[in-house]
Amino acid sequence: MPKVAQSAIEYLMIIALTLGLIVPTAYLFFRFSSESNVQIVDSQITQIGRSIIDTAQSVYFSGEGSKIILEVNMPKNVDDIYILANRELVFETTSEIGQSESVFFSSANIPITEGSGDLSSVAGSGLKRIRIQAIDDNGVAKVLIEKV
Amino acid sequence: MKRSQAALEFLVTYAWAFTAIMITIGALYYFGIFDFSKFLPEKCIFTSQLECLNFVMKDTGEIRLMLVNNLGEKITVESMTIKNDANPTLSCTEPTASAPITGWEAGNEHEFIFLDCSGGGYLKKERVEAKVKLTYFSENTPSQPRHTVNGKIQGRVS
Repeated sequence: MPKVAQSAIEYLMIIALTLGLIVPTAYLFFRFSSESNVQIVDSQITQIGRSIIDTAQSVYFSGEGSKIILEVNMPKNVDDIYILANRELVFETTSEIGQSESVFFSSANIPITEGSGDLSSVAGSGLKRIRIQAIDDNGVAKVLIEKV
Repeated sequence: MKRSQAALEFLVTYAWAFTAIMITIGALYYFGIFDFSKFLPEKCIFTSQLECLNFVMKDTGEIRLMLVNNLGEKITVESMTIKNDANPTLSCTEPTASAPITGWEAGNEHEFIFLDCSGGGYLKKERVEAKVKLTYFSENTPSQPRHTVNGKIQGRVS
Protein backbone atom coordinates (compact mmCIF):
# COMPACT_ATOMS: atom_id res chain seq x y z
CA MET A 1 0.00 0.00 0.00
CA PRO A 2 2.71 2.60 0.82
CA LYS A 3 4.37 1.87 -2.53
CA VAL A 4 1.12 2.59 -4.40
CA ALA A 5 0.68 5.83 -2.46
CA GLN A 6 4.27 6.84 -3.22
CA SER A 7 3.90 6.26 -6.95
CA ALA A 8 0.60 8.17 -6.94
CA ILE A 9 2.24 11.15 -5.26
CA GLU A 10 5.19 10.99 -7.65
CA TYR A 11 2.76 10.88 -10.58
CA LEU A 12 0.89 13.92 -9.26
CA MET A 13 4.14 15.83 -8.71
CA ILE A 14 5.32 15.15 -12.25
CA ILE A 15 1.95 16.23 -13.67
CA ALA A 16 2.00 19.41 -11.52
CA LEU A 17 5.57 20.24 -12.60
CA THR A 18 4.75 19.65 -16.26
CA LEU A 19 1.62 21.83 -16.11
CA GLY A 20 3.58 24.48 -14.20
CA LEU A 21 5.99 24.68 -17.12
CA ILE A 22 3.53 24.30 -19.99
CA VAL A 23 0.86 26.81 -18.88
CA PRO A 24 3.13 29.90 -18.47
CA THR A 25 5.11 28.99 -21.60
CA ALA A 26 1.92 28.67 -23.66
CA TYR A 27 0.63 31.98 -22.29
CA LEU A 28 3.87 33.85 -23.07
CA PHE A 29 4.09 32.26 -26.52
CA PHE A 30 0.50 33.28 -27.29
CA ARG A 31 1.16 36.89 -26.25
CA PHE A 32 4.36 37.10 -28.28
CA SER A 33 2.74 35.61 -31.37
CA SER A 34 -0.30 37.94 -31.24
CA GLU A 35 2.00 40.99 -30.99
CA SER A 36 4.12 39.71 -33.85
CA ASN A 37 0.94 39.24 -35.89
CA VAL A 38 0.06 42.94 -35.44
CA GLN A 39 3.48 43.91 -36.78
CA ILE A 40 3.30 41.48 -39.70
CA VAL A 41 -0.13 42.79 -40.80
CA ASP A 42 1.14 46.37 -40.45
CA SER A 43 4.15 45.71 -42.67
CA GLN A 44 1.97 43.93 -45.26
CA ILE A 45 -0.41 46.92 -45.40
CA THR A 46 2.51 49.34 -45.67
CA GLN A 47 3.90 47.36 -48.59
CA ILE A 48 0.51 47.25 -50.38
CA GLY A 49 -0.24 50.94 -49.76
CA ARG A 50 3.18 52.07 -50.92
CA SER A 51 3.03 49.93 -54.06
CA ILE A 52 -0.44 51.37 -54.96
CA ILE A 53 0.79 54.95 -54.53
CA ASP A 54 4.04 54.28 -56.42
CA THR A 55 2.13 52.63 -59.25
CA ALA A 56 -0.35 55.54 -59.36
CA GLN A 57 2.59 57.89 -59.73
CA SER A 58 4.21 55.95 -62.60
CA VAL A 59 0.83 55.56 -64.37
CA TYR A 60 0.16 59.29 -64.00
CA PHE A 61 3.45 60.21 -65.63
CA SER A 62 2.99 57.59 -68.37
CA GLY A 63 0.00 59.60 -69.57
CA GLU A 64 -3.71 59.18 -70.19
CA GLY A 65 -4.90 55.65 -70.94
CA SER A 66 -1.99 53.87 -69.34
CA LYS A 67 -2.92 51.33 -66.72
CA ILE A 68 -1.40 48.71 -64.47
CA ILE A 69 -3.19 45.90 -62.68
CA LEU A 70 -1.70 45.10 -59.31
CA GLU A 71 -2.16 41.74 -57.65
CA VAL A 72 -1.96 42.08 -53.90
CA ASN A 73 -2.28 39.58 -51.09
CA MET A 74 -4.50 41.37 -48.61
CA PRO A 75 -4.14 40.43 -44.93
CA LYS A 76 -7.28 39.50 -43.00
CA ASN A 77 -7.45 42.43 -40.56
CA VAL A 78 -8.28 45.09 -43.17
CA ASP A 79 -11.89 46.26 -42.68
CA ASP A 80 -12.15 48.95 -45.33
CA ILE A 81 -10.17 50.79 -48.00
CA TYR A 82 -11.11 54.19 -49.40
CA ILE A 83 -9.70 57.42 -50.84
CA LEU A 84 -10.18 60.79 -49.17
CA ALA A 85 -9.71 64.28 -50.58
CA ASN A 86 -8.33 62.87 -53.85
CA ARG A 87 -4.95 62.17 -52.23
CA GLU A 88 -5.26 60.00 -49.12
CA LEU A 89 -5.49 56.23 -49.52
CA VAL A 90 -6.83 54.89 -46.23
CA PHE A 91 -6.70 51.31 -44.92
CA GLU A 92 -8.90 50.73 -41.87
CA THR A 93 -7.61 47.87 -39.77
CA THR A 94 -8.61 46.14 -36.56
CA SER A 95 -6.09 44.38 -34.36
CA GLU A 96 -5.71 43.52 -30.70
CA ILE A 97 -4.68 47.14 -30.07
CA GLY A 98 -7.90 48.48 -31.59
CA GLN A 99 -8.99 50.15 -34.80
CA SER A 100 -6.35 52.09 -36.69
CA GLU A 101 -5.99 53.79 -40.03
CA SER A 102 -2.94 53.42 -42.24
CA VAL A 103 -2.83 56.38 -44.61
CA PHE A 104 -0.77 56.70 -47.78
CA PHE A 105 -0.51 60.13 -49.36
CA SER A 106 -0.14 60.75 -53.06
CA SER A 107 1.91 63.71 -54.18
CA ALA A 108 -0.07 66.94 -54.08
CA ASN A 109 -0.15 67.21 -57.88
CA ILE A 110 -1.30 63.63 -58.51
CA PRO A 111 -5.04 63.38 -57.76
CA ILE A 112 -6.24 59.84 -57.08
CA THR A 113 -9.87 58.78 -57.14
CA GLU A 114 -11.96 55.65 -56.68
CA GLY A 115 -13.48 54.08 -59.77
CA SER A 116 -16.76 52.21 -60.07
CA GLY A 117 -15.10 49.05 -58.75
CA ASP A 118 -15.50 49.97 -55.08
CA LEU A 119 -12.23 49.65 -53.16
CA SER A 120 -14.11 48.45 -50.04
CA SER A 121 -14.53 45.08 -51.72
CA VAL A 122 -10.75 44.70 -51.84
CA ALA A 123 -10.67 44.77 -48.05
CA GLY A 124 -11.20 41.06 -47.30
CA SER A 125 -8.26 38.69 -46.98
CA GLY A 126 -6.82 36.92 -50.00
CA LEU A 127 -5.45 37.65 -53.44
CA LYS A 128 -7.01 40.82 -54.92
CA ARG A 129 -6.58 42.64 -58.21
CA ILE A 130 -6.52 46.42 -58.35
CA ARG A 131 -6.61 48.45 -61.55
CA ILE A 132 -4.68 51.71 -61.55
CA GLN A 133 -5.38 53.83 -64.61
CA ALA A 134 -4.54 57.34 -65.76
CA ILE A 135 -7.64 59.18 -67.03
CA ASP A 136 -8.61 62.59 -68.26
CA ASP A 137 -11.48 63.98 -66.19
CA ASN A 138 -12.72 67.12 -68.02
CA GLY A 139 -9.21 68.24 -68.80
CA VAL A 140 -7.78 67.24 -65.41
CA ALA A 141 -5.38 64.29 -65.37
CA LYS A 142 -6.29 61.84 -62.59
CA VAL A 143 -5.43 58.34 -61.49
CA LEU A 144 -8.35 55.97 -61.10
CA ILE A 145 -7.94 53.18 -58.56
CA GLU A 146 -10.54 50.42 -58.52
CA LYS A 147 -11.13 46.74 -57.99
CA VAL A 148 -10.93 44.63 -61.13
CA MET B 1 -25.83 -0.80 3.34
CA LYS B 2 -22.09 -0.88 3.99
CA ARG B 3 -21.26 -0.46 0.30
CA SER B 4 -23.49 2.61 -0.12
CA GLN B 5 -21.98 4.11 3.02
CA ALA B 6 -18.47 3.58 1.64
CA ALA B 7 -19.44 5.20 -1.65
CA LEU B 8 -20.95 8.19 0.11
CA GLU B 9 -17.87 8.58 2.32
CA PHE B 10 -15.68 8.40 -0.78
CA LEU B 11 -17.68 11.19 -2.44
CA VAL B 12 -17.68 13.38 0.66
CA THR B 13 -13.92 12.96 1.09
CA TYR B 14 -13.23 13.91 -2.51
CA ALA B 15 -15.69 16.83 -2.42
CA TRP B 16 -13.68 18.27 0.47
CA ALA B 17 -10.43 17.68 -1.39
CA PHE B 18 -11.86 19.28 -4.52
CA THR B 19 -13.12 22.30 -2.52
CA ALA B 20 -9.74 22.68 -0.84
CA ILE B 21 -7.95 22.60 -4.19
CA MET B 22 -10.33 25.16 -5.72
CA ILE B 23 -9.92 27.52 -2.74
CA THR B 24 -6.13 27.19 -2.94
CA ILE B 25 -6.11 27.92 -6.69
CA GLY B 26 -8.48 30.87 -6.13
CA ALA B 27 -6.19 32.31 -3.45
CA LEU B 28 -3.11 31.90 -5.66
CA TYR B 29 -4.95 33.62 -8.52
CA TYR B 30 -6.07 36.45 -6.21
CA PHE B 31 -2.51 37.12 -5.12
CA GLY B 32 -1.33 37.22 -8.75
CA ILE B 33 0.65 33.99 -8.83
CA PHE B 34 -0.90 33.15 -12.21
CA ASP B 35 -0.27 36.61 -13.67
CA PHE B 36 2.39 35.53 -16.14
CA SER B 37 2.26 38.86 -17.98
CA LYS B 38 4.86 40.18 -15.52
CA PHE B 39 7.39 38.02 -17.34
CA LEU B 40 6.70 39.78 -20.64
CA PRO B 41 9.22 42.37 -21.82
CA GLU B 42 8.44 46.11 -21.79
CA LYS B 43 7.01 47.04 -25.16
CA CYS B 44 5.59 49.90 -27.15
CA ILE B 45 3.54 48.87 -30.18
CA PHE B 46 2.38 51.39 -32.77
CA THR B 47 1.92 51.24 -36.52
CA SER B 48 5.10 51.64 -38.55
CA GLN B 49 3.73 54.95 -39.90
CA LEU B 50 4.00 56.46 -36.43
CA GLU B 51 6.67 54.20 -35.05
CA CYS B 52 7.34 54.13 -31.34
CA LEU B 53 11.04 54.48 -30.61
CA ASN B 54 11.05 54.58 -26.84
CA PHE B 55 8.91 55.15 -23.77
CA VAL B 56 9.18 55.51 -20.04
CA MET B 57 6.67 55.40 -17.18
CA LYS B 58 7.81 57.40 -14.17
CA ASP B 59 6.43 57.14 -10.65
CA THR B 60 6.04 60.94 -10.69
CA GLY B 61 2.96 60.33 -12.86
CA GLU B 62 4.72 61.06 -16.11
CA ILE B 63 4.59 58.89 -19.24
CA ARG B 64 6.96 59.85 -22.05
CA LEU B 65 6.54 58.46 -25.52
CA MET B 66 8.92 59.02 -28.43
CA LEU B 67 7.32 58.60 -31.85
CA VAL B 68 8.70 59.15 -35.33
CA ASN B 69 6.62 60.44 -38.23
CA ASN B 70 7.01 57.89 -41.05
CA LEU B 71 3.93 59.11 -42.94
CA GLY B 72 5.93 61.16 -45.40
CA GLU B 73 3.72 64.16 -44.64
CA LYS B 74 3.73 67.10 -42.27
CA ILE B 75 0.95 66.47 -39.78
CA THR B 76 -0.89 68.05 -36.86
CA VAL B 77 -1.70 65.86 -33.87
CA GLU B 78 -5.12 67.01 -32.77
CA SER B 79 -5.61 64.77 -29.75
CA MET B 80 -3.86 62.01 -27.88
CA THR B 81 -5.48 59.96 -25.14
CA ILE B 82 -4.28 57.18 -22.88
CA LYS B 83 -6.31 54.66 -20.91
CA ASN B 84 -6.36 51.02 -19.86
CA ASP B 85 -8.88 48.32 -19.05
CA ALA B 86 -8.67 48.78 -15.26
CA ASN B 87 -11.50 50.25 -13.22
CA PRO B 88 -11.03 53.18 -12.58
CA THR B 89 -9.11 53.58 -15.80
CA LEU B 90 -5.71 55.23 -16.19
CA SER B 91 -6.12 58.97 -16.45
CA CYS B 92 -3.48 61.54 -17.50
CA THR B 93 -3.24 65.12 -18.68
CA GLU B 94 -2.83 64.76 -22.42
CA PRO B 95 0.07 66.31 -24.36
CA THR B 96 -2.51 68.02 -26.58
CA ALA B 97 -4.59 69.33 -23.66
CA SER B 98 -3.64 72.98 -24.18
CA ALA B 99 -3.10 73.02 -27.95
CA PRO B 100 -2.68 70.59 -30.85
CA ILE B 101 0.86 69.67 -31.86
CA THR B 102 1.35 71.32 -35.22
CA GLY B 103 4.04 71.16 -37.87
CA TRP B 104 5.32 67.67 -37.14
CA GLU B 105 7.55 67.19 -40.19
CA ALA B 106 7.99 63.86 -41.99
CA GLY B 107 10.90 61.85 -40.63
CA ASN B 108 11.11 63.84 -37.40
CA GLU B 109 10.82 62.45 -33.90
CA HIS B 110 8.51 63.94 -31.31
CA GLU B 111 8.29 63.30 -27.59
CA PHE B 112 4.77 63.17 -26.18
CA ILE B 113 4.48 63.70 -22.43
CA PHE B 114 1.45 62.64 -20.42
CA LEU B 115 1.36 64.27 -16.99
CA ASP B 116 -0.37 63.58 -13.66
CA CYS B 117 -1.12 59.96 -14.48
CA SER B 118 -3.18 58.15 -11.87
CA GLY B 119 -5.66 55.30 -11.52
CA GLY B 120 -5.63 52.13 -13.56
CA GLY B 121 -3.04 50.51 -11.27
CA TYR B 122 -0.45 53.20 -12.02
CA LEU B 123 1.78 52.60 -9.00
CA LYS B 124 5.52 52.38 -8.49
CA LYS B 125 7.07 49.07 -9.59
CA GLU B 126 3.72 47.89 -10.89
CA ARG B 127 3.31 46.65 -14.41
CA VAL B 128 0.94 48.81 -16.47
CA GLU B 129 -0.57 48.14 -19.87
CA ALA B 130 -2.09 51.18 -21.55
CA LYS B 131 -3.76 51.96 -24.86
CA VAL B 132 -2.83 55.18 -26.62
CA LYS B 133 -5.12 56.77 -29.20
CA LEU B 134 -3.81 59.49 -31.49
CA THR B 135 -5.82 61.60 -33.94
CA TYR B 136 -4.01 63.54 -36.65
CA PHE B 137 -4.48 65.19 -40.00
CA SER B 138 -2.20 66.09 -42.89
CA GLU B 139 -1.52 69.81 -43.15
CA ASN B 140 -1.15 69.54 -46.94
CA THR B 141 -4.63 68.10 -47.56
CA PRO B 142 -7.08 71.01 -47.96
CA SER B 143 -10.10 69.30 -46.31
CA GLN B 144 -7.88 67.89 -43.53
CA PRO B 145 -9.70 64.61 -42.85
CA ARG B 146 -8.93 63.19 -39.39
CA HIS B 147 -7.20 59.83 -38.94
CA THR B 148 -6.88 57.64 -35.88
CA VAL B 149 -3.98 55.46 -34.81
CA ASN B 150 -4.05 53.14 -31.81
CA GLY B 151 -1.00 51.94 -29.96
CA LYS B 152 -0.19 50.01 -26.85
CA ILE B 153 2.50 50.37 -24.22
CA GLN B 154 3.30 47.79 -21.58
CA GLY B 155 5.94 48.41 -18.99
CA ARG B 156 6.79 48.88 -15.35
CA VAL B 157 6.41 52.18 -13.50
CA SER B 158 9.90 53.18 -12.34
